[in-house]
Amino acid sequence: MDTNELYEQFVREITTYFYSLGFFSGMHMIVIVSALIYNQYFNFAVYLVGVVLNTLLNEYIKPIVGDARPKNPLKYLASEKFISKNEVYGLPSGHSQSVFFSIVYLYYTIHYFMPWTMIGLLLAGATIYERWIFHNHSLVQLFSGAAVGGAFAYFVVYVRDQYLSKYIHH
Amino acid sequence: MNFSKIDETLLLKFTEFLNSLGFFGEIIVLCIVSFVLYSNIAGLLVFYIGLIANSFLNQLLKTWIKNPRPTGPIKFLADETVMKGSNSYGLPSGHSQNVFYSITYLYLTVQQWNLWTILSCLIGFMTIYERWTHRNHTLRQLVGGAAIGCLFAFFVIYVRGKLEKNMRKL
Repeated sequence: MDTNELYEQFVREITTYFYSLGFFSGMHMIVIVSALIYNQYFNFAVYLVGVVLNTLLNEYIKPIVGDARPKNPLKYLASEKFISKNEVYGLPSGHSQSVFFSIVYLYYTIHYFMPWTMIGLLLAGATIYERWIFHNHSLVQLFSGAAVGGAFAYFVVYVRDQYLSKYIHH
Repeated sequence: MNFSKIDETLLLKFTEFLNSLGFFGEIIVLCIVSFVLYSNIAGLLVFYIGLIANSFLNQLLKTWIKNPRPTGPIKFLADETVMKGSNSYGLPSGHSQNVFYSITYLYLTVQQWNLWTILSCLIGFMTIYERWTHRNHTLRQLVGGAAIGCLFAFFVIYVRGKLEKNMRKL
């Protein structure tokens, strides 16, 4: 029995799992938000539309700003490719934007912080760390992604509560 | 804006997210068991000891049976290295054995089908699917691992029951 082999394997799995939480935080947040608000049909539908619009917004801003990604990026998944046109640009970070969109939307929908918004923020921390350590984005790109995602979620919630909800309730 | 590949990108992201749930199934189910049994300290302690013993058992069986893994494995993580030591063998699958040990232990402890036991089972099947499609194991190795994991959980629960009886006598 090789204890060292098992220990090394365990440490490696924990580290790569932590990175996976960061890499897939957008997906994790979609699962969390869906599980929490699926029975609030109107809010849930607006959230799903918001997720799509947020992704499109990111695709739209990246080529306009034209800010290049850091050099020598490291791959996390074997299937990752850095060749598509918008993948060349890095501002704002798509991962960061999507996770902060979900966090802000969730908070302004459920109106409480613990535990789910807090878990969202921890996932966001893992995202920023993973994208930065793997040289996929600079810190400026990551924090601007967070700001854009957060601001867009606030805008979506504002439109939902001020305008759209009136049509639903009448 | 170039949206022609956005559906392809989203599909790839979703597929890789599902693969990540399978790849990290061991850790995810470990987290679920820890969360569900956090107030049952003795049960949790026996679970952790059993999990370590299960990993050693897997190492022992692999080096004893010496059944090779399939040829041409596909990497999920970019930095996955060539399997060395007992990991160069594939029967029984370590991922499958650990995840099914955890699922069986959880089910035998809570003795009901609830959200967590069903979710753990789904993750167990995702583990089998991911290891099989990435050619890290054959189906025989994966089913063998699952069977050994389940049997070992029964054994651990049996020993735990005996220990509890003796403790009560004292």
